[in-house]
Amino acid sequence: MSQPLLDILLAIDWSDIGLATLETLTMVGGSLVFTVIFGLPLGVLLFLTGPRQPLAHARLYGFLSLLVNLLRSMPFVILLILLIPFTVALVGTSIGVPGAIPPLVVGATPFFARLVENVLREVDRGIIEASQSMGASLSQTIFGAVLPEAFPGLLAAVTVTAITLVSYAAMSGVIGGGGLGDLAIRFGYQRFQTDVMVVTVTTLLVLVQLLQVFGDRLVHRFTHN
Amino acid sequence: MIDIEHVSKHYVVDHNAIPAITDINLRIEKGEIFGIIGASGAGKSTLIRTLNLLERPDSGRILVDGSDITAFSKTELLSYRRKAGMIFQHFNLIGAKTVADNIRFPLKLAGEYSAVEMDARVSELLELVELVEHRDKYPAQLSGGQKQRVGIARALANHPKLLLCDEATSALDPQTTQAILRLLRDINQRFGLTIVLITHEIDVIRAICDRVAVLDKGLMVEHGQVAEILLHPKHAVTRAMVRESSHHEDSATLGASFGLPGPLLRLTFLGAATYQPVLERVATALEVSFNILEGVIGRIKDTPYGQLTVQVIDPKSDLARVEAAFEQQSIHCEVL
Repeated sequence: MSQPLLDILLAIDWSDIGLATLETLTMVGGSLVFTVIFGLPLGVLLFLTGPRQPLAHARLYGFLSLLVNLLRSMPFVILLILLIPFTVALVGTSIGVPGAIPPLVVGATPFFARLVENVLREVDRGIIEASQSMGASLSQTIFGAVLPEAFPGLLAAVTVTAITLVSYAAMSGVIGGGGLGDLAIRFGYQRFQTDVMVVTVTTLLVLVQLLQVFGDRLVHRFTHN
Repeated sequence: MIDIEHVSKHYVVDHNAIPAITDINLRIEKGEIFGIIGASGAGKSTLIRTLNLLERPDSGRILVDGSDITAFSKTELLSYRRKAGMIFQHFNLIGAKTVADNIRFPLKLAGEYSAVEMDARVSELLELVELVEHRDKYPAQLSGGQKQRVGIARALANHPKLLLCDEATSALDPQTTQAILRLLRDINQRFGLTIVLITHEIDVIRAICDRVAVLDKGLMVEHGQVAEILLHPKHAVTRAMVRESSHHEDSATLGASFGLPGPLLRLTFLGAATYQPVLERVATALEVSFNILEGVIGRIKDTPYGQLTVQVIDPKSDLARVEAAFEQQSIHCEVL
C-alpha cells in the first residue's frame, strides 16, 4: 500500500465510522421490520382488490393505489421534512436513529407494498383456482397457497427494499438522522473532509453489496424450480 | 347425480355481452364418466367450472344429489367443493410445496384430520398414483405425467364423490395420456367416482367415456351414449370432429375418386358382431361382392366396434335386400 493512502486511512477516526455504520444498520433493520409489517398487508390488499382478482373492488383499489403513488412520488427529502411533526409526536424526537425510523417506514412502505402486489400478480392464477376448487377460503388461499408460492419473490422484494432503505437512511442525515449519511454530510461535505466522504460512500457500497448477495442467496435457497 | 337445468353464463368483454354457454340441460349419472367435447371457445371450460361454481351461472340451477349448489351459503359451498375434486390441464400444483405437501394441502383445508391421519392418507394416495418414491420432490422435478398424478392424488384426498377434469391430458404426450386415462378409469371403477371431463380430443372420449355431450358456440348440439354419438353423429360439428379423428374422407369425395359404378354402403358393427364374418355371409347368401373402400375396427371404451365403407359390386339382388340382410345380422347399414 502506498504511503499517502496509508496516511489518509490512519488519519480517519475509525470509531466514528464504526459507530455510524452501526447506526445505519439499526435504522435500516428497524425500519425494514416495520416496512414489512405494514407493507405486506397493504401489498396483499392491493393485489386482492385489483382488477380481476378475488376481491376486485375498483374504488378501494383506486384509493389505495393513489395513496401509494402519492407517497412514492414525493422526494424522500421532502417527506422527511414534512413528517417532522408526526415523528416528534410518535417517538418524541425528530433526530438521531429513533427520529429517522418513522419517515423511513413511511417512505419505504408504499414502495414495498407495490413490489408485493407485483410479486403476487406473478403467481399463476391456476394456483388460486386450484385452491378454490379444493374448498379453500380466501385466507386459506392466501396463506396456504399464494404467499408460499410467492415467497422467493417476496424475499427479493425485501432485499430491494432494504437496499432502498440504506440510501434513504443516508439521506436522513440531512435532518440529523444519524448514521453514515450524517457523517458524510457533517464531515465529508460541510468540513470538506474528502477522505471521510470516500470512506462512508465505500462503506455504503459494501453494505448494499452484502445485502444483495445475502438476499440473492436466500431467494435461491427457497426457489424450487 | 348432477342435474344441470337451463344453465347460461355470459361474459362482458369491452361492454359487449358474449354468451359463453346458453341454456344447457344435462343429467350426469352417478358413477359414470361423462365427457364434454368441443372446440376451444365452445364453452366447455365455463360449463365444467359451473359444476363447482368457480364460474357462477347467470341463470339456471345445478342440482347435485338433489340440492341446488347455486343456492349454497359460503360455508356450504366450501364443504361441497371439498367433496368435488378437480384436476387441470396445467396441473396447478404449488411449486413451493413438495409432492407430499401438495397432497396434504386439501386435507389441511378440511381441518378434520390429525397430523398422523394426514400422513397416512398422503402415503395411501401416493401409492394409488404410484409416486411413493417422489414424496419429497418438488413439482419442478417431475415430468408432466407425474405432475398430473400429483394433481389426481390431491383431488382425491378428501374422498370426493365427483372428479372434474379440465383438459387433464391435453398438455401430455400420447403415451402419458393413455396412462393417465387408465388411472382415471381405474379410479372410476374402484371408488365408483363420478367423473366429468372436458376435452377437445375425441380419442379421450372414445377411450374412457360412457356418455358424451357435444358443445358448439355455447350450445349443446348433441349428447348421448359415446358409441351412438361417434358412430352415428347427427350434428355437422360432431360429424366434422369424428371424420377428422378417424381420417375418414367425405363419402361423396370417396365415391367420386374411385369412379366405379355401384352403390356405397356404410356398415357399422358394435359389440360381438364386430368379430363375425358378416360381410362374407351376406356376400354368399345374396351372391354379391363387396369392395372395401375404407374401414376401421377399434374399441369405444370396452365395446369393440367397426365401421366399413363398402361398394356393392354388380348387385344381382336389389339394394333393399342387401340392407335387410345386414340389419338381420344386427349391422347398422346406411346407403351413402
